[in-house]
Amino acid sequence: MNLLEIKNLKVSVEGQLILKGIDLTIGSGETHAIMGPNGSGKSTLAQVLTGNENYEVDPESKILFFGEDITSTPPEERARRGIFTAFQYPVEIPGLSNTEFLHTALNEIREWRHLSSLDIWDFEKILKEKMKEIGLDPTFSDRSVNEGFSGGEKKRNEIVQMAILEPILAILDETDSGLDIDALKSVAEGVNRMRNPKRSFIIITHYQRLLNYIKPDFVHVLYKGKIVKSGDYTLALELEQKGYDWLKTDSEQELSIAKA
Amino acid sequence: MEKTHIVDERKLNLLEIIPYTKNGHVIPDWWKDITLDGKNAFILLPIPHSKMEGWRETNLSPFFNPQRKWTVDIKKQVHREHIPEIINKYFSAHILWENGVVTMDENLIDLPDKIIVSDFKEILASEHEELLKSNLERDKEPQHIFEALSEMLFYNGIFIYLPKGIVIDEPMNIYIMSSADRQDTIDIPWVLIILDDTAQASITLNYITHNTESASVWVNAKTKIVLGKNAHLNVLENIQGTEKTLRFHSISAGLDKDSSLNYNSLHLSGRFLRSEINAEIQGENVQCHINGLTLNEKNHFSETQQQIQHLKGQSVSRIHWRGLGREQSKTVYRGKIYIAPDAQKSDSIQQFKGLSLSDGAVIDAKPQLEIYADDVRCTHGATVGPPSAELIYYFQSRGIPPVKARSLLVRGFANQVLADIPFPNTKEFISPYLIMSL
Repeated sequence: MNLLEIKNLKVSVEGQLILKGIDLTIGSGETHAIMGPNGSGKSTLAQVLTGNENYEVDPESKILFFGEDITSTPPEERARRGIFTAFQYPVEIPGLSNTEFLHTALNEIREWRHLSSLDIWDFEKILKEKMKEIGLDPTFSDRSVNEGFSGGEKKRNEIVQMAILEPILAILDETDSGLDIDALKSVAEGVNRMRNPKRSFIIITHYQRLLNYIKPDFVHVLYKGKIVKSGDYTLALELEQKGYDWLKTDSEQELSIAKA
Repeated sequence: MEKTHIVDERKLNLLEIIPYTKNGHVIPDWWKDITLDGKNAFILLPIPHSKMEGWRETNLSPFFNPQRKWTVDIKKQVHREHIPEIINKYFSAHILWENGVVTMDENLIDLPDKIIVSDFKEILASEHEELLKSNLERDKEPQHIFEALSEMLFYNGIFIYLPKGIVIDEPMNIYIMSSADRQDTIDIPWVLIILDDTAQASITLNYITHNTESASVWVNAKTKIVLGKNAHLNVLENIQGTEKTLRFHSISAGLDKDSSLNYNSLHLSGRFLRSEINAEIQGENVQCHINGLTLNEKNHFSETQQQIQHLKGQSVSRIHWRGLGREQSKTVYRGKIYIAPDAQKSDSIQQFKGLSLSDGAVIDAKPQLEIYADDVRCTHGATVGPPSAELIYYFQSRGIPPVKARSLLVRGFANQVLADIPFPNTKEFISPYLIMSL
């Protein structure tokens, strides 16, 4: 059974159609990159998969997770089932420490999976270990979630959360944006360490740069709300060389042919 | 022809109360004068109403309801059984007041010999009577009838005096309990805290009430703080009440050169609270910090009025207040920083944040600055709103359901002001109240 199946996904925001019918199938252990220019709908796709209720999903559309329809499942239940999104713009939570936040999250997920809850002291040790691995100062465990963190630190913190929550499907929404090369490498290493035959990744990015470090199995190009091209890793290299314009032309040509 | 003053009939019941008996002490004239001056002011001052500046949000009808007959009920002893366990756990009692009577557990705290902790009456005819007198007598006219009432019904109080250079490290815990057994009862606790030059202390003021179902308690509290040069005082005020508790608290503080006051408040419950604090920076290089948290629920009313007056320059003031309102509660914050023309190089930050946890909860905030000096650094800000939907979504995306997300957000919201409160265990103490606040 496929880990994720997206069928004819159409999504609107405030009446405007953003995703115009996406079909995508992801198997266990696969890493898919979704690339595309600004405004193509990449982040919308990430938000809809996470369960953001501000997006209107067409009643005909289906999102299946291990064959189960999760199209209208609330975000917390998707997270407990194993879907995790590293956000492009992680929010700050003043007054709540990273430890307390993630400890609560992990225990919610463990409870759902019928696992015993983890003691906070044991948890903090694990958290600090993961922070070290991903290059985030372990003293940040006591600091409020993302408060006063630099852009790069916020992104690293998202990867720390992913490492702690051990999702089955991880969606990285432009995790590379705003990262310097060292941060990019440590984030990529963090992801690569987690790759295994049971865990899949969707990596959303503008640039091929991140994909040098996290080699995807498949690359899809999203343009104007549709996947206009899919291929293997070489497609990313091609995009890096040619940019997106040649695809725009191709797809627009296709569209005009179709209309005719 | 002499003008006759017609007394508002809603005051008549209060004017009939005779507050004090001699109780074995010889009451000096200056003491009687306080009550007489208070009575005159009480007669002359109007009952505030919603058209008066500073009273627009305050509905005083529970106090001045013609159906009520207020009385004073001076206790013979303190009833410790009425003290909530949680308060005793974190702030075990050293000095206890109940309706005018004071008891001390001196064994519980290791106090230096020279420190005076007493009730006012014990000070009469002692070497400190003059100090008591000079600090109890008015330095300005009462601003409204609640202040006048504190004078009119003045009966007793708690006197704390640290002579020059005396330092106490452990917090001194004071309980001010007001109770109503049979009838609607009014209690007038006065607290006078004087720290002479270079003295240092840490004090908790725990206000609690006890009442039977049929009786309301009106607590009309007055606190005066006097800090000498380079004196340092930390206060944690913990105010609790019942469905039948009406509170009016007035706090004034005078801060001399190089002194510091760190005044922290937890306004936790009760039907009605109006708390006014007025701190005067009277010397240079003073630090005045006011931090507080209001938790408000049901149809309760909680109002905080604060004023810090920089009369001398080169001093620092900080106000950090937060209010959490749920159900149909109304929370009002009024803060004002005044900088006198001579108070150059004053540095002041005033911040209020309100979190409303239901559509019916009203939070009204008005921070103000009044600046007459040109070389100062002053900022103020206020934000009020419900928990952010974006934040709740972030919690959800990590597996945390909205209800738990809100509870963590509430804790985080409170934690930010609790982090500024320099009393140990405040976070632990407040934790169960925050759960109730959801």
